[in-house]
Amino acid sequence: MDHIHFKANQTAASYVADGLDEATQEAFELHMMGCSECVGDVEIWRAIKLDMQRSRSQGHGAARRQRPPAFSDWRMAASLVGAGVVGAAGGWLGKSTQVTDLSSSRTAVFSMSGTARGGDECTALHYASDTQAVVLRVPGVSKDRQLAVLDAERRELSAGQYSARTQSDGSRLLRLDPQVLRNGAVHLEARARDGSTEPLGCITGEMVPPGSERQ
Amino acid sequence: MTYSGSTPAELRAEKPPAAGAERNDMSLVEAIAGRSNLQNELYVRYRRPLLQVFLHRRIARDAAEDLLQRTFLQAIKKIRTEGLDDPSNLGGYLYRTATKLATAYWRGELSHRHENDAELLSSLKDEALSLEERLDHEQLAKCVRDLMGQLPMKRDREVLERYYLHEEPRTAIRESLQLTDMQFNQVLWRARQRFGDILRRHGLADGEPDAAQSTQR
Repeated sequence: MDHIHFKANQTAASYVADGLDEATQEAFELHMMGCSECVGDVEIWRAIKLDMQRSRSQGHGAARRQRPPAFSDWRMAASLVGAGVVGAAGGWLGKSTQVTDLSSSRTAVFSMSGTARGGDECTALHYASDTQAVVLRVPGVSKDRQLAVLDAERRELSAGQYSARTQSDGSRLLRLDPQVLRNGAVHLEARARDGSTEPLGCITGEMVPPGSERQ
Repeated sequence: MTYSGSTPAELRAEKPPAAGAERNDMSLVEAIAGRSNLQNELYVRYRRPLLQVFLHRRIARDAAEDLLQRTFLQAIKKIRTEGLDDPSNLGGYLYRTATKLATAYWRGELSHRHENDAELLSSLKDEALSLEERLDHEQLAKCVRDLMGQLPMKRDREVLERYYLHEEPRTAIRESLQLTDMQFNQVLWRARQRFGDILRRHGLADGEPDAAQSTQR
């Protein structure tokens, strides 16, 4: 692929949006090594993206401060949008709901927002102490990549400690044993066949007594 | 709902990619091997693209600076000891080195922070600095606000927000707004052009500090 192709396809914009397949990304990054114009495009799109995300997180912060304290605690789950709850086994919600809740039911469901991905700080998931399974929706993982879950020491968790499946919208549903979160931070990454990895973020678990989230 | 617009003539008239990069890489490798004082040239040419490679892998800026330094030092050491298999592809070598270091970083294999050459970094000229490094954060934020305010169509703003804020796949955005691939690219192209205009009004070149890398063309 050449410069004209990259320019015509707005590849720099797609690169910043994580919208390139692996081969195209590599070709474009190699092209960038010798093309200051494309580097400039990437810098501009990254600046736009970062500022939009900063603006939104500031807006969310202001909105949070106006909420009643009883809700603000766990809703604060940094950039994670809590997605709702619950029910005993199975039947998770594939889509995030706008109404967030936390119950003493045995499965707690969360959805990771785009702005939480790859952040430096771990995001706390707040769930009831009798929760038996934590389900996290992770959007935007390329189909050709596998979702890997690592402990605080960056060792991959055993298969029995988590499972992941791909949804029709391309997101992944990650099901975790809450015990894993009690042991410390959990890191998520997208892993390609060639061994290259892309960090997706970091989560921790924080338990609250069953029912304490209700007003 | 459809979206109309003409194909920007500029898309077809873009200048071709750099020619002669291989020759410049070879002369730079020779200079580094000969211990000429060309280390700054290495930074000027490759710092900005490599920084983007690290940032794209969600490495924070200060850690990225550390990895940049490691990348350059590893390359200089290799050139001065074993030499490169293909000196005409110094950029490729630096890229591979950077991606390996990024992987090692996320695997926690780079536990000791490397000492940055603060003197060198502080003496870097504008052409080695990225847009964010050259522009005050508030100024940049204002430019983005100006951009969002100046986009002529609500749909253009929606595309940018969904693409960069909500990180929706472009196919999903295209389908819901009934945009063809070309129309989607036109939205991005228009936004890019307008942002370039805004930057120029703030006295900044359009994403390119100057012709620092034009020697490769």
